[in-house]
Amino acid sequence: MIGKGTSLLGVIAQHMSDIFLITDSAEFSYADLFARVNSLAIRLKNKPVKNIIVLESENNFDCYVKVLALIESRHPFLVLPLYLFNNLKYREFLNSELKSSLIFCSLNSDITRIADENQQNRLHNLIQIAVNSDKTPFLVRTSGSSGNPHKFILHDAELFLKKYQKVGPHFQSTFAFSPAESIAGIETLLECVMHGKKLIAAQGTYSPDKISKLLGLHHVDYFQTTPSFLNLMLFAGELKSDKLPYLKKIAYGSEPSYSSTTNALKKALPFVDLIHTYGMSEIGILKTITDQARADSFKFDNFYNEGRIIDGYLEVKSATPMLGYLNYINEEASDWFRTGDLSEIDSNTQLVKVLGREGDLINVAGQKFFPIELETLVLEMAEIIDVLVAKEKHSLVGEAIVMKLNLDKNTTIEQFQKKFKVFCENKLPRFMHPHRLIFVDQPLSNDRFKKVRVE
Amino acid sequence: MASHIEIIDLVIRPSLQKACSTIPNVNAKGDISAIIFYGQEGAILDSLNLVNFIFLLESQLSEVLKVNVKFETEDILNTELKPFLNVANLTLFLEKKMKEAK
Repeated sequence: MIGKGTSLLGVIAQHMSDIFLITDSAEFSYADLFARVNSLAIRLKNKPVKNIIVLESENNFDCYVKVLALIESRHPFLVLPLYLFNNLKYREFLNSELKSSLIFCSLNSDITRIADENQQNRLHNLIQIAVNSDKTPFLVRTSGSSGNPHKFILHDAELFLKKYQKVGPHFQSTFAFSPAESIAGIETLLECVMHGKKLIAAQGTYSPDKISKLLGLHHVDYFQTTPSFLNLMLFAGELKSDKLPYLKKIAYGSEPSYSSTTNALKKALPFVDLIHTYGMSEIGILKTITDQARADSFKFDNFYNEGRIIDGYLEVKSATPMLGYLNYINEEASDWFRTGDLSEIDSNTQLVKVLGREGDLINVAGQKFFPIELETLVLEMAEIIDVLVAKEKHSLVGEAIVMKLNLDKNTTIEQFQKKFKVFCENKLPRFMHPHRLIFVDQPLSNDRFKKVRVE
Repeated sequence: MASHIEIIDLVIRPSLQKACSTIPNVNAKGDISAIIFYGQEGAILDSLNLVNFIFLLESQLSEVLKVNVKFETEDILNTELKPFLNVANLTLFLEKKMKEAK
C-alpha cells in the first residue's frame, strides 16, 4: 500500500492477463510485473529507509520493476543514465549535493543485498521529513540543458498516481520515448501501470525509421516525444498515415514548438490529434488542451492545473509540484511555480506560446528575439533537416548569431550557402541574419532530443 | 610574415568572394582597389554584416596563414586608421594584427 489511497500493486493486480511491456527481445505481462514488484517490495519493506537508492537507467523490465518496487515500499530513489551512473567524479558530486548516504544499484544487482551491506545511515533533511510524513519520495535531476549544474528535485510519487487516477485511460499503447531517469519517463511508466496499458521500449539510439517501425509494428496509438524528434521524423518521411495507421495522438513538449513543424504534422497526419504538453522536472507534465489549428500553442486544462503569465514569465500551479530542491534554495517558493519560460498569451483564445528561456534571448545591436523565432523561419527551407540558433558575445553588435545546420545529404554546403543568402535577403528581418554558420552531420539535440543552446 | 600582395590575394580577396556569395545583402563587382568596405557612402558592408565579414577574415587568416587573430571593437572602429575603408587600409590593419599575434 502506498500513501493513503492508492495501492500500486492493487492496480497492477487488476490487469494480470494484459501485456505490460514489449522490448526488443521480450514481452512481459502485468502478471510478470506483479510477481517481481511484489517480491522485491516485500523484501524492501523490511529494510529501514535510511539511504537513497541510485539506479542505473534503462527503459527495460528490470529497471521498471525496481522503480515500481521502490515506490511501493516508499524508499527514496534516483535514476541515473549509464554515463553518469558509472562516472566516479559524478558520484562524488552526488555525495556532496544530496547530503545522504547513497546505494548504487546496477541493473543486474539485488537492491536488498546491497542495502544490507551498506552501513551508512544518512538522509537529507527534506527526504527525512517526506519519509516521516508518509510521502513516497523520489528524485529527479534537471536536464542541464541550460548549462547549469544539475539540480536535484524531490517529488512525492503518490501525487502522480492520484493525477493518473483522475486523468483516466486515453490510449491503449504508448512508446517509452523519454528515458527512465527523466520525469517524463517516470510519468509514462506510471500512467501505463495505473491504467493497465501497454508500453513499448527499445534499446540503443533512436532513429526516425527505427521508431516509426516500432510504432507501426506494435500498434502504438499514443506517441509522446519532442518537437526536435518530430522534425527529424518529418524530414525522414516517417510520419505518414500508411506507415502509422494505428496512431491517434502525438504529444510533444519539453522545448518550444515550431509552427512549421506542427503545420507539417497536421498535413502529414491529418487524423492524428496533436497535444502540446508542458512540463518540467519540478512540476511534472501538466494537462493541456491543444487547438488543432494552432498546435504550436496550448491552453492549460484548469481542471487539473493552472497557468498564468506574470511580467512575461509563465507561472503554473501543478497537481504534482515538487516537495523541494535538495541542492538549491528556491527563494520564490509559493503555490505558483515560476517556470523561467518567457511566454505570450493570446488574450482572446487564452492560448499560451512558449518563447524560450530568458538566457536564450538574443540581442543584436538592440534588436531582441528568441532562437525559436529564427529557427521557425529558416526551417521553411527544404534543405534543412534541423537547425539550432545560439549566440556568442561580440564586441561590435553585442551578440552575434551562430546557426548550426544539419543539411539534407543531397545538398552541398556551397549550394546551400548561395541559396541561404537569397533566403535571408528575402525572408528574414535584417537583424536576424546569422553571422556564423556551422555545418554538422550529427543531431542538434541532446540524448533527450532536446535542443542545447549553451555556447 | 606575409607580404601585402599575399595578404590581399590569400586573405582579403577570397574573403570578399565568399562574402559576396554567402553574406546577405553583400554584392561587390569590379576592381578590389575601388571597393569601400565600411564606413563611407557606397560601402558594401553595414555594421551588421561587417560582423560576418570579420568572421570570414578571421577564419581565412587562421586556415591559410595559420595566424589566430581576434578583432576588437577599438580596432574595427579606429577612426584614424579606418581599417575597413578600403583594401589598402585593410591590408595595413591585417599586417599590424598579424605582427601583434606573433
